[in-house]
Amino acid sequence: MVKIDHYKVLDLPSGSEGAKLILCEITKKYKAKALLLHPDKRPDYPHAGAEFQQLKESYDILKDPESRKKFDAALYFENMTSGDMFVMASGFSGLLVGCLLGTGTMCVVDGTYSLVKNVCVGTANSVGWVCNSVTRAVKNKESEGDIEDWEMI
Amino acid sequence: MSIAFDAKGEGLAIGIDLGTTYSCVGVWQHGRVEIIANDQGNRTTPSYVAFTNNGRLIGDAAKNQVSMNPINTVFDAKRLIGRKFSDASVRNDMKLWPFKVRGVGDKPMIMVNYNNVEKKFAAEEISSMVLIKMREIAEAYIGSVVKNAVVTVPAHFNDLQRQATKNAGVIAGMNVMRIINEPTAAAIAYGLDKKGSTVGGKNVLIFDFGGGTFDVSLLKIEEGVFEVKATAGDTHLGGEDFDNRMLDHFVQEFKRKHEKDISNNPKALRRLRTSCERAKRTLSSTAQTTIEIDSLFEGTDFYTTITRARFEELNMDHFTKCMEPVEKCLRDAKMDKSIIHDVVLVGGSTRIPKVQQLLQDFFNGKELCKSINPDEAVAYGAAVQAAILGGEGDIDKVQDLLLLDVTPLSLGIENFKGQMKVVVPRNTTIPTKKLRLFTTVESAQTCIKFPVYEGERTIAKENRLLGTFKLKGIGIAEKGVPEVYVCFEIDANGILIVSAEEKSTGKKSKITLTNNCKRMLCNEEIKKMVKEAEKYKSEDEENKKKLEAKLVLFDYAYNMKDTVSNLSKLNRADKKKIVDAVAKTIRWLDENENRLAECEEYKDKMTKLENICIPIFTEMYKGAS
Repeated sequence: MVKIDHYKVLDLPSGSEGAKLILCEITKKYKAKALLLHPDKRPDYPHAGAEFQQLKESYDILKDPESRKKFDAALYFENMTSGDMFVMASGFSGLLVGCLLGTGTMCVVDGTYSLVKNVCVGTANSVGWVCNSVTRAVKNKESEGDIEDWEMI
Repeated sequence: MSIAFDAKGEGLAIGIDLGTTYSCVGVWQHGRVEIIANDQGNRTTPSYVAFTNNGRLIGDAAKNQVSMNPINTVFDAKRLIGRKFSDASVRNDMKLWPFKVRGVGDKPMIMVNYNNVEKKFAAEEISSMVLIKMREIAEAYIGSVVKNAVVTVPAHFNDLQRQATKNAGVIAGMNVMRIINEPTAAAIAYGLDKKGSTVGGKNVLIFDFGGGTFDVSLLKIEEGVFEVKATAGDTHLGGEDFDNRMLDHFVQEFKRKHEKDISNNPKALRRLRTSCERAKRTLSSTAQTTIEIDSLFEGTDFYTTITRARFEELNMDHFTKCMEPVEKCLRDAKMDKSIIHDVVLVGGSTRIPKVQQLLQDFFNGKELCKSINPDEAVAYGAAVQAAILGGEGDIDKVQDLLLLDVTPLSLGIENFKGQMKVVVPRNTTIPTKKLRLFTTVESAQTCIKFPVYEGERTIAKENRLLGTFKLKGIGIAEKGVPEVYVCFEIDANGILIVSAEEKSTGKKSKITLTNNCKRMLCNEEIKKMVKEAEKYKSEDEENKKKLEAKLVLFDYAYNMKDTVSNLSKLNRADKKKIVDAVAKTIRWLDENENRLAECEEYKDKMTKLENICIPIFTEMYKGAS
């Protein structure tokens, strides 16, 4: 399940329409929203900081072609609601998308964004790593989106 | 954020450029920024504080008497603020400063003699005195009390230096609404009237080279949003360093010519340094200048000339060092130099022709933008930001203007392998909040230590340690099981707050790093300093009254002396009485020239003198009528 639709955060059309947007359209919207949401503009609103933070994070994901591609892929599969099987998705070059049977976990290899339930997204050579890291991912359960990995200290 | 709100209805908010060598203040009034001149008519004020037996002097008054009183005149506090006594830069600077610096713990303290008492001041206190002066300048112009201010710092200032600058504001009794970066402030000055004039935005590189610090920031200005893409710089490079090189050069020359070493004579060094600063400025417009100092050392005069070429040669390594941050900034922003629309010059050192030439060459001969005043741009921008945050006056012009600044250095935590685990990478837009998950390395580990570092090296020890905090009372569990969330929150001032929470027990630990650090001031110390600052202020006022009383007495005494000598009607005995009394008073004043007596003493002397003079004059006029 995609936790946050970054297009919607930016008041942009989501899904296939969103994937077609060019970067300067996204940037323009971001700047306009930043002027409205920034804590400096709403000093008396307690959640302004968090809302602006989310806006910035969503924009960071969409402005980077790599992470945007991955997010578009996740969003695509969210909408497909496919069965429990491996799918070679022709629409996303070089991406192998698979669902792991019965694990009920979610993980995204090399991913920087929200974890996706029942779906594994990764490049072909990292599928092995995906399986190995499922246990790690289980540990990570419903953890916050920002957290990338465990750190021993 | 809430501070900005509180600011409403508390009078105008000002913008202060707190510089290493000079400071500048501005205010937004009647729909535009006014840069305010001080009582001497200068639009910038030296960041100097002098301690004398006749009280404390700040600004021009302090700088003007520096060669008479070099060891008690403090400057360059910005080069000490938020630094450790053991820092290499502090050690090097100390060799050049005429005033004494001592380490208390690892905090550098400035030692001066004030009213014949040895006193020690933190850099924050000296900066607070400069801030007080700037506020007074603004208050005199505006005509009402000023409580709120936006203060600027170099973009490359670290967390501790920012926090220390904020503390200086607190000690000065001001509400620092925001700490903003100097190049960003300059960008506002540049971009305010150009707002919305170009489609698709403008990429602007701000080259801010001042008296003590050097910053480069790359911004995208689009539809009123000033977004900083990347920033780089050196917090210890500026005009002062050029003065030092020149000073060294001339000390050597003096030794060669006259076989005398002046390097242990603070007074001579100071006079030479003042001449060097002047010569440096002149060399920006002429190819050669002279230095003429009469009786510099042991009666020997020093006359010499210096050419621009020689000056450039002395400082060439400094100049070339300036280009590295420009490159780094472009690299970080992932921009090619060909897509930079404007290169804006800010700060006095950008007047140096060689600096301009190197920069122009770097940008393949591109014309540099000199449309803004390099000395005032930063204060101008700070005043605009103060108006936005203060919500005062005619803000229609600026309400759709937004600053999105970045953090200049990566922030992270050292893991058990000694590596730096970055939590907030450099050039992240602020305010920001990042979470990271940590766990234990040993079974039944109940305490985790978090050393927080700042810097770009992968080995944590090579970065700057901001502070260490501990999370205690973690439930006993297998290693790797406890889940500890560490949150790095950077506010709009660029100041870091770190907190940690253990999920299962809900144990929390939250610190503003700086409060935990030995070399930073704790709240108690700040409170003490605020009290002392108030005391110094009232002392200043007291001194002013004393000085006035002294002048009144002086005036009266000389007036009497003058009057009596012109009066023929007065009999000899009375005349002698008055002349003796006046002479006595003047002698007393001369004896006490270097110290201020109490107001009462002056008043007492005044009354005594009047009691002698008035009856004689009354008698004389009676006799005449």
